[in-house]
Amino acid sequence: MLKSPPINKASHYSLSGQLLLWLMLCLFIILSVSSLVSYSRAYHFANLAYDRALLRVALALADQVDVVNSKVVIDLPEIAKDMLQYDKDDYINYRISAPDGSIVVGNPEITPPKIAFKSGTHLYYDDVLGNEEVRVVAYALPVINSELKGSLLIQVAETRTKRETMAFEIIEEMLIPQIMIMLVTALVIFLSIKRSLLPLNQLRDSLAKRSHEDLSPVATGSAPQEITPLLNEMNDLMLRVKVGVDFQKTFVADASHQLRTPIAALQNQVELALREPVSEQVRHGLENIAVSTKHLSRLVQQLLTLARIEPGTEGHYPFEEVNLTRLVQAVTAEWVPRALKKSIDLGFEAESGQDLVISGNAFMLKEMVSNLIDNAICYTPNGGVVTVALSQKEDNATLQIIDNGIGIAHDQQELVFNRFYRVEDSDGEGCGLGLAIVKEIALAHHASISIQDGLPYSDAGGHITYGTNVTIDFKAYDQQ
Amino acid sequence: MRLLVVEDDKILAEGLQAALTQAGYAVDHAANGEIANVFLQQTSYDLVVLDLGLPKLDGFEVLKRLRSRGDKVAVMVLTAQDAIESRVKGLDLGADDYLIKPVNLSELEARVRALIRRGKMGANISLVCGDLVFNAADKRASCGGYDLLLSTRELALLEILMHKQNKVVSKEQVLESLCNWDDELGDNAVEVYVHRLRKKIAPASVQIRTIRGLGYLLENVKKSSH
Repeated sequence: MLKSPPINKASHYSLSGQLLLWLMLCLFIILSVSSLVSYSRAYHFANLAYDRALLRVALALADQVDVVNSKVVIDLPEIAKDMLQYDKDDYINYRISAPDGSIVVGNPEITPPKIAFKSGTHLYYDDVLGNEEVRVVAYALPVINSELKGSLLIQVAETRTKRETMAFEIIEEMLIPQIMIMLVTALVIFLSIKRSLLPLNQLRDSLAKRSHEDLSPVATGSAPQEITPLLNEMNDLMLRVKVGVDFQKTFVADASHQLRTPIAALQNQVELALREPVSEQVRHGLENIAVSTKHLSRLVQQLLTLARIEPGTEGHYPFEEVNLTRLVQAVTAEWVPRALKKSIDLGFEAESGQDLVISGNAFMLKEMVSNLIDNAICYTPNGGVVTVALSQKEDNATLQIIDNGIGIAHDQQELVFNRFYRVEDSDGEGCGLGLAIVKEIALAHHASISIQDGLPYSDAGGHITYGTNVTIDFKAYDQQ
Repeated sequence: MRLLVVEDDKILAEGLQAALTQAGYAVDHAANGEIANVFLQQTSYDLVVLDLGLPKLDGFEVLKRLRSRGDKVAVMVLTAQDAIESRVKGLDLGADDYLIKPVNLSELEARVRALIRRGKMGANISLVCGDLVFNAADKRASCGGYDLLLSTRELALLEILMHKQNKVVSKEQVLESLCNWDDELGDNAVEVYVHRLRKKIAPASVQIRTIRGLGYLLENVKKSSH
């Protein structure tokens, strides 16, 4: 049987994998962008809320500021200071500076805002204090009834821990459902891809189940619209292949038939001629013609058999329950007279008393056993032993044809199944198709063939050689 | 004995004609189905060797017309068509034998002899193997003219072996032939009867071979040693 050609790895991608990959990539990008946007919105709203609280601190500070005799006075008791600066999460610093910019009270590290703003208004901005990022509110407190002109600058700086915490909380609340949605979407996509590709799988299964000789068109009814053209093309191709195969088979069968009559004529003429009194030379020539005619006749017979059992003819040779034991016995018995002519002890051995039954075609199996015995007799010298044995191991039925003939060299044991291959230096009558036929039939029956050394044979010089043991294993003989 | 060879291949027909003439038969030849059909209506033959793939009227048709006329002449189909369907069709239409080309001349002659014998004498024939003769009608066996004293079972065994001489007779077949008479037979009954028969036919030029795992085979010793 042919092995499928290697598939180019680069082109071997999965449709569902590709679909899933691209859809998930898109989903991921959408989710990432939406997360970024969400974060910035969440942060914005967290800022807004805490900025107002910060402003209230600044205004409360402003309430405690007074200008007495052109001097800025702050009435800030320790407890108020503590309360002002107390916060669970963040550090709060403040700075109050006079209109001339000199610091009145607070943390001198707080820098004034870089943007100018009107007196009586406030401004929020981000800054850095020490090593920490801070949010600052600056409030310009106008000075009334005083010699001091301008406004006092009140700044309150707060680290951003709780703002960030809040933003994260918001984003967390938003992100979890989003991830869930993404996962659910992925699952739905995955399932729907699977479901959409189901007809493809069914198609594959139905093709896989086909025997290699089934060239009937594939039903396009249940196939998705997208692959219907592909199927149509495939069916077209199968039809073309079938026509070619059929033509080939018919030709071989016809040719074999047509060859038979002239061969029969040739054979009869030679036999008739050999009955006449002729010179030794002519007799020798005629005898050679007779031998060649026999070979030719056998070759034609084998060609026809091969053409018949070739894949695609199973319609003609349906499988049924076959009593292998009876069949093998009958075929072996048919060969006994031929074996006796060579004084070969041809016998049958069955391991168990029970008949072995397999699923197969009787015609093909007979051909197979016949060819094996023929071969064994051919390559076994006069006086040899050929044993046809049947045994059973678990579910397997094993057929063995063991001889003590010339044997097959180990490096040739694989080759002998090739068509027209002949064992070197063999002068047997075989024509190289017998084992090819055997192999085809074994294949059709899903049986395996192997060749081992057969029985020992000691020639005139005391040299020991081993014959051939052809073993055929039929799998699961009592099942389909 | 008059035979008709129906064969469109000139050389094969000539060969068959020559061989059968040598064997002592008067042989006519028809090169196509129509001629054969005419010959068969005009002449009473003892046997017809009939090809199937014939011009004008194929062999099946010739055979069908022959039998529909009630002609019981022995018909031996000799054809290149070895498909089981054709074989079955041929035999169903009333062929007495079905041979696939090419066929060995000696085998053809033997089959012709057998068919003619069957046609002439029915079942009442003597089976011969070497100098051993078995008469099926009065169930008697003789060797070189002297009757052999055999029991009914030994005769039954000899009959089946003679019928299938040079072919393997399985133990089951032997057992069946022995079981036609009365009681159950033991496991080694076949061996016992074969052993006895061997002893009794020892003077004849035949032998019963034991074929490993298959059964027994009766053969003419002179013939096989030659």
